[in-house]
Amino acid sequence: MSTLTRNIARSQETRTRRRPVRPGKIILHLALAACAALMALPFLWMMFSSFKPLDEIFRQPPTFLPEAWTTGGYETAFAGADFVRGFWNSTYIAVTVTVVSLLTSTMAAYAFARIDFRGSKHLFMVFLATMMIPAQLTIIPLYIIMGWLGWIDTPLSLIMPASLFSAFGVFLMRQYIKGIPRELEEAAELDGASRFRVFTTMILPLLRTPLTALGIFTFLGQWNNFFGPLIFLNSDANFTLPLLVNQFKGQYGADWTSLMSATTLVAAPLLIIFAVAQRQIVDGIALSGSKS
Amino acid sequence: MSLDTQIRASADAVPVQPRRKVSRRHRKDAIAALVFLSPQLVGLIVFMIGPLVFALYLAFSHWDGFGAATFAGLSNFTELFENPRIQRSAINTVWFTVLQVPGVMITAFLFALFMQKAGKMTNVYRLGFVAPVVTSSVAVATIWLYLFNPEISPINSALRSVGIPAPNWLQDPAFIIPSFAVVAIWQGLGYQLVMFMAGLQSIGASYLEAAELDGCSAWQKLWHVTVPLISPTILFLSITSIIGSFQVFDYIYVFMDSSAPDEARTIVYEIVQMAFREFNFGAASALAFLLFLVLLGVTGLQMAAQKRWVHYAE
Amino acid sequence: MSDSLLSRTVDRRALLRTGMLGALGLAAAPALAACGGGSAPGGSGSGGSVSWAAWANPGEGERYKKFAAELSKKINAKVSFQAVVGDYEAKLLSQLAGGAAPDAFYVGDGQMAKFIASKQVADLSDYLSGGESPVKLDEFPEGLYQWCKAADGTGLYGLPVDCNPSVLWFNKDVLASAGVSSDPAQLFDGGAWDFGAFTDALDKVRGSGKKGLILSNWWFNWAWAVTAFGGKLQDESGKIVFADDPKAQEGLAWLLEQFKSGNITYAGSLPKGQSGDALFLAGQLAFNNVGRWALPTLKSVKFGYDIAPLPSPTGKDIMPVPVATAAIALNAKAKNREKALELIGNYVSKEGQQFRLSGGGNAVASVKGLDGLATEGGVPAHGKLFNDVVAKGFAMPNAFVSNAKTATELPTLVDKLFKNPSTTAASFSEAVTKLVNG
Repeated sequence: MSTLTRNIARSQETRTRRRPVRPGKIILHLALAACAALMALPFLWMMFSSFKPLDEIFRQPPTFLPEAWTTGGYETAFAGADFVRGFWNSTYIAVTVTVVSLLTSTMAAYAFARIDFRGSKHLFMVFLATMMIPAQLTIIPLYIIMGWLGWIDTPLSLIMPASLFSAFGVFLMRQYIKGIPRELEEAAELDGASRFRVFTTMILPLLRTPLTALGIFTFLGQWNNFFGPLIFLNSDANFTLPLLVNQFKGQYGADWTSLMSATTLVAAPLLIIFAVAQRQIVDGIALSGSKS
Repeated sequence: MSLDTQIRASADAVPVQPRRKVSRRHRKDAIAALVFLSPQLVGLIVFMIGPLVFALYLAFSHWDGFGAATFAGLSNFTELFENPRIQRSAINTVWFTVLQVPGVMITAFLFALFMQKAGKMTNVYRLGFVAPVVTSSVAVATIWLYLFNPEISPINSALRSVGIPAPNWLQDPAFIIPSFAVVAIWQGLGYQLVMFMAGLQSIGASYLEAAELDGCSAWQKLWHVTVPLISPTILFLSITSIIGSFQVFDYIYVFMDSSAPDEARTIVYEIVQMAFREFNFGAASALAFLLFLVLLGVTGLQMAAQKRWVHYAE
Repeated sequence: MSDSLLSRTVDRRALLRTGMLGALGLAAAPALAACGGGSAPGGSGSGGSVSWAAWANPGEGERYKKFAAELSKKINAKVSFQAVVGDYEAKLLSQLAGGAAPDAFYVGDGQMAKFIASKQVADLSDYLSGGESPVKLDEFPEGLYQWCKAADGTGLYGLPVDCNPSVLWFNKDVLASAGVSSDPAQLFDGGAWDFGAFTDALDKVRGSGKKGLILSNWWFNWAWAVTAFGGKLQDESGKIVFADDPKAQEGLAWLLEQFKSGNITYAGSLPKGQSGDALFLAGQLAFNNVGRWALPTLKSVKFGYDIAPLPSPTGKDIMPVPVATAAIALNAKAKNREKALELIGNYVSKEGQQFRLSGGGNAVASVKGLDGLATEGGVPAHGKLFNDVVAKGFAMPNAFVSNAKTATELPTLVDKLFKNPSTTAASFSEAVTKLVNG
C-alpha cells in the first residue's frame, strides 16, 4: 500500500472535523456574491425591462426596477406568437438531442479512451477536425442532404445531426473517461465482464458529474440554437422559441417590450433547469481512487 | 515533491496481459470499437464528411452559389493573399484569441477554485455566472451597445469620474477587438466555470487532504495535485476554446451588422461576407480551408504537447 | 470464456439496436404526427399551392398570415407565407441551392443585381403589361424600381412591396428646451425650413447639452446630403456624378462640417436603423433620421414628436432623398409560376398594399393613390409628408449595388471616410465614385 492511499484513508477519517469561520471566508463570500451579481446584471436588466413600459426601457438615467410595472409586453408577445407550440417544439428537440447525444458520444468516447484499435488517433483527429470548419460554410451542402432525406421543415433536420454527431461531446467524455483509473475495469474484464457491462455498470455511473455538465450545455445549446432552425424550418407551426423571439426584432426597428418579454420567457426556464440540475454536479461523486 | 509521481506510480501498476492473447484481443477490440463508435460514425459520414468535402472542393473552384462550379486551381488562394483586408482580419482574429482564451480560462479556473470553498452558497453564485449563457443575443447586444456607447455608458462616466479618459469602445480601432473579447469572456465564463468545477469535483477532496497531510503548501497543492488532476479538462477547454475563438463571428455581426470596419473584422466574418453577401463561395471556402489548416496545426501541437503535461489516470 | 463472448456480442447488438431504434423512434414521432395533423400545405384550392418568403417586422407576420388567407380565396390556391426571422441571405441561398425556394420571395437591394445576373429571378414585365395584372407599372413612383432592372436597363425583376422615405423625426420637447422656438414642421409649413434653420436648431441643441442627430454609414443616412442642396447623385445612365456637381459638394461639405462641430454625431457601423434609436426613445436626441418604421415604438413615448422632410435650399421644397425599399421577385424555377405571378400582382396592387399596411403603421405604400395609409391615426401630425417625400425620392442607386462586392464595400468605405477627420467633400466624392463607377 502506497503512502498516498494510506494518506487518503487517514484523510477520510479526519474529514468531518470542523473548521472555525475565518474572516477570509467572509471576504470570499462578499467577493463571489458581488461578481455573481455583476455577471447576472444584464440578465436581470432584461427580466426587469420586460415589465417596463417602452419609454422606461430607454430612460436616461436608466431605472433598474420598473417604476410602473406592466405585463403589456407579455400580452403582445403571447398575442403575436404561439409560445406554447414553440415551447413544445424546443423542449422536444432539446430533450431528444440531449438524451441521444449523451449516449452516443459517451459510447464513442469510451471507444477512444479505452479500446486500443488501429487508427484510433487518426479517427479522433478527424472528429476534432470537424470542429474547425465554420458551420456557416457547410450549410448549403447540409441543406441539400436534408432535402434528399426529406427532412426540410421537420424537427428531424435538427435532431438527427446533433444526436448522431458531437465532436465536442465525444472529446469531453473521452477526457473524463481517460481520467478514471483503469484498475477496476481491468479486474472486471479479467473476470469475464463484457465491455458493454463495464461501460454501463462501471464507467457510466462514474461519469455522473461530467454527463450532467455536458447534458446541461447540450440542452442549452439546442434550446438557444438559432441558425439551424432558421435555415431548416419554414412553417411557423414547427418554429422553435428563438425563431419566435426573433419575430419581434424587425429588419429596422424592434418591438422592444415584447422582445424583452419573449427573451425572458425563453431564458427563465433555462435558469430554473440549471438550478435544479446543478445539484448533480455538486453532489457528484468523486471519480478518483478514493472510491476503493 | 513526489506526490504526482506517486499518483502515476500507483496508476501504472496495471496487470500485464499474457502475450498470446494479444492478437485475438486486437480483433475483438476492433469489433468492440466499431460497435461503440457506430452511431457517431453514421453521423460523421452522413452529416459531416459530405459537406466538408464539398467545402474543400469549392476552395479550388469558382462558384457563386448558383449553377455549376468551375475549376479555379489556386486562384482563390492568390486572391486571398492579394487582399490586404484578410491579413488585417487574421491579425484581429489572433488578437481576439490571445485576449479571450487565456482571459476566460484563467478567470474561470480561479473562480472555480474559490467557489469550491463557498459551501452551500456555491449554487447561488454559480447561477449568477451562468446567467450570461442563457441571456439572449438580442439582450446581450442591447445592453452592451448601451455599455459601449460613450455618450451614455455608466462605465465611461465611472472612468471619467476618476480621471481616466474614457474610450469610444466600438469606434476606436484600438478598442474594438478588446471590447469584443470582454463580451466573449463575460459570456463564456459560466460555461468554463461549470466545466472546471465538474473537473475539480471529480478529483475529490481525498487527494488534496492527503497532500495536506504530506505537508504541502497551498501553492504546492495547486501546482502538483490540482492542476495535474484536472489537466484533461484544461486540455479540452484550451483546444475547444481556441477553435471557438478563431471562429468568432456573431459578436461582430450583432454589434456592427454587415458593414463592420476593417479593424473589427475576423476571418469567419470575412468568410460569411464573401459567401453570402458577395457570392464568392470559392474564396470563402479557400479562406475556411486556410483557417482549418491553422487550427489543425494548433490543435495538433496541443495534442502532441499533452504528453508532457496532461495527466490521465491510466 | 466463450459464454461471456457470446453474451457480450448479444449485449452489444442489443445496445446498438435499442439505441438506434430509440433515437429514430423518438425523433420520428412528431414528424409523423405533424404529417397526419394536416398542417402540410397543398390541400385546398384547385390552383394548387403557392408560397412566398419575406423578412417580417414585428406585427407584420400576423398581418401577412391574414393576407395569405385572403389571397388564397382570391386566387383560388393555397397561399402560404414563410417568415424568415434572421439571416435572410443565408436561408434564401440555401433554399435556392437545394431547389426548395418559395415561388416568390423578397429581394433586398444588395442582392438584386446578382439574382438577375444568375437568372434566379424571372422578368415580370410581360405579366405587368398583360391584361391579367391587378397593378400597372405606372402606378409606382419611377424612382422606386430602377434598381430592379437588369444591368443593361431592360426587364423588371422585382416590384417594391412598400417603402420608407428618409425623413427627420424630431423631439419637440428637446427642441423647445434648447430654445428652438418653432419646430421644423412649422418652419416647413411656413417655407423657412432651409439648411440655415437646420444648422441653427442643431447648434442650439448642442448648446443645451443634448445630441442633435446621429448618423450611420448606411446610404439612407448620408446620400441626402448630396441631393438635398439640389445636387445630382447620378445621371440618366445611372453613373454616379456628384463629384462634379457643385451643389452636391456644398451639401457634403455641410455634412462634414456638422460632424466636425459636433452638431451631428457619426455613430459608425451599427445594425440598420439603430444608430439613434435608443437615444431618441430616451429623449436625449433631437432628430432621428429614419423611416416610418419608427412609428410603432414611438406611439408609447411621453414626449411630443413629429416629422419634417430634410431641408431644402428654398425652405419650402421637398428634395429628392433616399427611400428604403425591398422588392418581391418571382423565383425563376417557381413550381407554380402562374399562381406566383398572381400572388405578386395582388401583393403590390393598391388593394393588396392597403390590406397589408393598414393598422400596422411601419411603412409607406409603394404605389400612388394610397396616401391615406401614411396619415392613419393622425400620427405623426405631418404624416402626409411621407407621401410627398416618396413621390420625389429615389431608391438605392443602381451604381451602388451593380455588383455584390460594391454593395458590401460601399458602407465600409463610407465608414472609413467619415471617421477620417481629413476627409473633404472632394476626397469623399472621389473615393466613392472610384469604388462604384469602377
